[in-house]
Amino acid sequence: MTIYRRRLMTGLVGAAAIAGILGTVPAVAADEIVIGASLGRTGIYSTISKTTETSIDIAVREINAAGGINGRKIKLVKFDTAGDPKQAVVAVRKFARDDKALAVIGPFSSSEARVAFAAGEREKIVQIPNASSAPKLADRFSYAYRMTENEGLQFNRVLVTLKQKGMAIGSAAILYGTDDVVSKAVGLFIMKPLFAKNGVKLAKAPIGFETKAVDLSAQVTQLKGLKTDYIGLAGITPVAVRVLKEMRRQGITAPIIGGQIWADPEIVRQMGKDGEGAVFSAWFWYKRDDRSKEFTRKFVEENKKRGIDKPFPHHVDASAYDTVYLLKQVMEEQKITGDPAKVAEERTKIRDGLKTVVFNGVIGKICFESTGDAQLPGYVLTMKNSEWQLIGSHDSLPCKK
Amino acid sequence: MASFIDSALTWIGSSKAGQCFADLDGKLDLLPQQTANGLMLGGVYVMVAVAFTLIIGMLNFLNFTVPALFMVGAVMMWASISGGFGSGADQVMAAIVGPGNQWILGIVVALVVVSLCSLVIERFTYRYMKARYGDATEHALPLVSSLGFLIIFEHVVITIWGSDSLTATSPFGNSSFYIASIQFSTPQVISLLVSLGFVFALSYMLRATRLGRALRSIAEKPDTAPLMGVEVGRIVPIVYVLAGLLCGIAGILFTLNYTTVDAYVGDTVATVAIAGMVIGGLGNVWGAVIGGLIVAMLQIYATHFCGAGVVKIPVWGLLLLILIFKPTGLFGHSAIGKGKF
Repeated sequence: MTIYRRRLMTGLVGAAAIAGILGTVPAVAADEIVIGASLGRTGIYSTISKTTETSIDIAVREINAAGGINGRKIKLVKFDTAGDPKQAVVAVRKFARDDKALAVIGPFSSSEARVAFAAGEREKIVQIPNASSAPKLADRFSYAYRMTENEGLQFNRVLVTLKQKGMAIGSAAILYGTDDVVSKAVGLFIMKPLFAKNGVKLAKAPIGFETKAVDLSAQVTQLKGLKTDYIGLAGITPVAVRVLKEMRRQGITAPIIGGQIWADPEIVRQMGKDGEGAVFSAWFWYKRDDRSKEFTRKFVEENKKRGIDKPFPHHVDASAYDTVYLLKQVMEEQKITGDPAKVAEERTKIRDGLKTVVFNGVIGKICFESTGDAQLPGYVLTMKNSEWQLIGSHDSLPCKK
Repeated sequence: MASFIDSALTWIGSSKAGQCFADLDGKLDLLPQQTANGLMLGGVYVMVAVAFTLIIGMLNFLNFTVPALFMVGAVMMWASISGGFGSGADQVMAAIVGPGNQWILGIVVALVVVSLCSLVIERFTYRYMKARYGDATEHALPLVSSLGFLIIFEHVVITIWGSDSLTATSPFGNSSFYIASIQFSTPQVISLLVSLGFVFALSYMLRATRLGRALRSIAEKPDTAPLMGVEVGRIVPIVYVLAGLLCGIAGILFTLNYTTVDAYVGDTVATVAIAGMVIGGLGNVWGAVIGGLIVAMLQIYATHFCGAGVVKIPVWGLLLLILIFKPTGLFGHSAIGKGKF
C-alpha cells in the first residue's frame, strides 16, 4: 500500500511538473499579436503605474474592437515588476522567451530601464518605457525607445514662453533633490545654466535637499530674506509638495517654477492654494483637441470603475496610451503577421519601423531620434484657482536621424 | 608654518569642505532660526527614540515595529482629516465633532488603532515566542518577527491608500509666532511640549509608581520578578502599548505638523531616532531625549552649513565615535540590554 501510494504521488508530481512546464509555454494563436506590458502594479510606483495600466487597457480594447492589427487581435501579457529593476529584466526575458511577444510597453521607470534595456537588446525585442526620462539611457541600444521628453528642452520652453508672454523672470533661487538622478540633473545642470542663458539672476547657489527628508526647514530658512520672482524646484512630486508647504509655512510667497518632474495631476490636490502661480511643463495637455479630451473622458471613467480617482491623465498615462497606437501603426506599416515562426524577424522589423515612424497621437506629433528618445510637444502650464491652465505650447521638434 | 596653514586653508576653501565655510556671515545670521528648526525636528525624534529605548530596556530587543506604529498613527490622523476612510465615515465624523474638527476624533482613532496593533504585535513577537521557547528575549525571533510586522503594516497601507504621498491640510494652518526674529510654528512648539510632557510622565511613572516598579523589576531580573509577585504576562503587553502610544502620538503630531505622510515615513524617522537612542544610551529614557535632540540639531546644522548631500555624515559619524569611545552611549549603563531604567 505504501509503495502504491509512493508511486501514485510520484506520478502526480510528475504530471503536475509536466503540466507546469506546459503551462509556462503559452500557445500563441495564429490570429493574435502578443504585446508585453511591464508594469509596477505594486511597489514604489504603484499609484502612477496603475493608471498606466488603465491607459494601455483602454487602447488595446479600442484596437481589438476595431478589428485589431492587420486583422489580428492584440493579446496583452502583463508582468508586475514592483518597480524592481531585477524584475524588469525577468519581465523582458519572459515576454521574449515564453510569451513570444513582439514588443514590450515599459518598463516604467529609469532605474528599471537602465538594466532592462541591456536584457532587451540581448533578446532582440523592442521596449518602450513611458516614464523614463533620465538622460542617455537608450542611446547605446538599438531596441530601446522612450516615449518621454528631454528635461532641458522642456524647462527651456517654460522660460521662453514666459519671456514671450511678457512674464520674464528677473531673479530666482533653486532647490533640488540631491539623491535623485533626474532632480539633481535638472537643478544643477539644466536650471542653473538655463536661468543664466535667459538672463535670470540667481540669488543664491542652488540648495539641495534629500528626497526622503521629512523636515525641509533648514533648506527653506536659507531662502529667507531673498526677494526672488520664482523658486526653481527640481524634485519628484511628493518632495516638491513638502518643499512648497514648508516655504509657505516660513512665509516665503514666491511661486515655484519647474520642468516636468512634478507635472502631476495630483499636485492640484496636494499643493492646493500653496501651488497658485506655479509654472511648469508637460508633454500632454488634456484639453489640446477633441481626441485628447475623449481620451481623458475614457481614462477618468475607466479609472472610476477601478476605484481610482484621478482628475485627468498624467503625461506618462498619455504616453502609454499612444505607445499602443504607435505600435499598431508601425506593425501595420511593417505588415506584421504575428506568425510564431517569424517572431525574431518581425521584432526586428518593428525596431526598424520605429526609427522612421511619424505618429500623431493624443499627445501630438511623435517621432524618434537616432538615440531612441522621442521628440514630443511641450505644454507650458500654470496653476490658477486650483486648476491647470495653458500658457503656451511648443510643437515637437523634427527628429535627427 | 604660516605658509603651511595658508596652504591648508586655501585647500579647504577650494575643496568640498570649503563649501561649509562659504558665505559664513550669512549662515551665522540664520543660525538662531536654524537652532529653533532643530529643536522642533528633535521633538519628532525624541518620542520615537524613547519608544525604542523602552522596549530595549525592558525586553532587550530592537523592536522594528516602532516605525510601523509611528506610520500607522500618522496615517490614521491623515485619514481622519482628509477623508481617507471614505466620504461616509468623514460625514459621520464631521457630524460628531463638527466640520473641520475631525482631527479630534483622529487622535482617538489613531491611538485606539495603534494600541490594538501593539497588542497583536506583542502576542506574536513576544508572547508566542516565550510560550514556545521559554524566554523570548534570548532569541533573535522577536526582532525578525517585528521586522515582518513592519513590512506587513507598510504594505497594508500601500494596498489601501497607495504608494504616493498622502497630503492633508493642517487644521491649524501655518500659524506661527516670533520671538525676536525667530519664527516658531505654533503646532510644532505644542508638539515639542507634548513630547517632553509625555517623557516626563513616563519617567515619573517608571520612578514613582507601582507599575513603574514592576516594569523596572522585569527589566532588572525577568526571572526573579514573578517571585516578587510581578505578573510578567500582564506587564509586558503594557510595555508594548506604552511604546505604541508614544509612536502613535509622535505620528499624530507629525501629520498635524508636516501634513504629508506615506507608508515609509516611519522608516525615515526611525532610522535617525535609532541613532539618537544609541548616542543617548541604550535603555535610558532621558538619554533618548538628549540623543534625539542631538541628531536633529546635527542634521539641521549640517544641511545649513554644508548642504543636504553630507547630512548623514555627522549623524552616523558621531554614532560611530560614540560606539568606539563610549559604547554605552552618553548616558547609558555598563550593561547593554536589560535593566537600566
